[in-house]
Amino acid sequence: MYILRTLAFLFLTQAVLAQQPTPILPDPKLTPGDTFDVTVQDICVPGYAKKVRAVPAWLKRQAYAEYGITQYKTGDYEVDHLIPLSLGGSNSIRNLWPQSTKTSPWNSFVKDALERKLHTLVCAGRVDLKTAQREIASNWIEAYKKYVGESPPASRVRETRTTAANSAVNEVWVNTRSGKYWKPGSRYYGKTKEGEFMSELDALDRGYSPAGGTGK
Amino acid sequence: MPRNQKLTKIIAGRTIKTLTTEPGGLLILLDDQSSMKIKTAAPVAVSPGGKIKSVYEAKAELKIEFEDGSTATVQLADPGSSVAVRDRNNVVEYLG
Repeated sequence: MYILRTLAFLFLTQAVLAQQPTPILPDPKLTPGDTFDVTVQDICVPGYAKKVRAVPAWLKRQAYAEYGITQYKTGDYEVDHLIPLSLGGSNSIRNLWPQSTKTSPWNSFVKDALERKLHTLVCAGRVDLKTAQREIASNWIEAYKKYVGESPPASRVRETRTTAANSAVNEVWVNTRSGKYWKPGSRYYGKTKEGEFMSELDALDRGYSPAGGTGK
Repeated sequence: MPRNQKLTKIIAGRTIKTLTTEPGGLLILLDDQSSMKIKTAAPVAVSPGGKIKSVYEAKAELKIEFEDGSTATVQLADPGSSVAVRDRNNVVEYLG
């Protein structure tokens, strides 16, 4: 009986996972894109994107929920800024969507390449900021074909798997009250009264620092 | 309510010099000539003169705690896209 129940549970889990949407393009109704009130001079200052990156865990959960993604493994998706911060995009839910790291050939790593290219072009004065924002928000794949190339290089897909596998290992526990974070295996990892899990990069971006200087 | 560590690090120690209500938000000028714009969902009462100690944020609620122990709570119009702090030279210090 136990085996049957376990098998039924596994079957249902697989069925649910199989139904998960893996959007390559965001839904324009949910994610039309949103920008901060910034200029080219603002966004072309080194370190700008790091300064303005601030997506709390609840907002990420909302992005997953809006897209009907109820179950996923760490590294399957990243909550992407449709209009990237580096092009003046905001942290509003209207600019966030769960982008697959696994779909091929179009995935979050390919979009990252487009974002870097557009940022370079905008800062060089070769593309207007508003145009870049509009084009990446309306169809980032078409924008990739226009500004980077017709198809993404195969290495982008391979890069996906390596990076995604590594990202799962790097989650830290942030004590949101003290502003300190703890690494896996440390004494207070996941144990403080207030806190949340996030990547170490997110924690640093949001101004948190490692407990005791190392987080161990 | 968790502390907004990033914003706290930037504006802690600054004092509210003047405060102007604008359509859909607030414009706060601080004593170091930096400014903070907040897009709000509801009218809010904040008095000038307070020295900022910490900022807390939970969903659409932003709470500013002052050195004298008083607080001001603001309902954000669009979390993640409602607060802008610029320094005296109009350089971005914080957006979120």
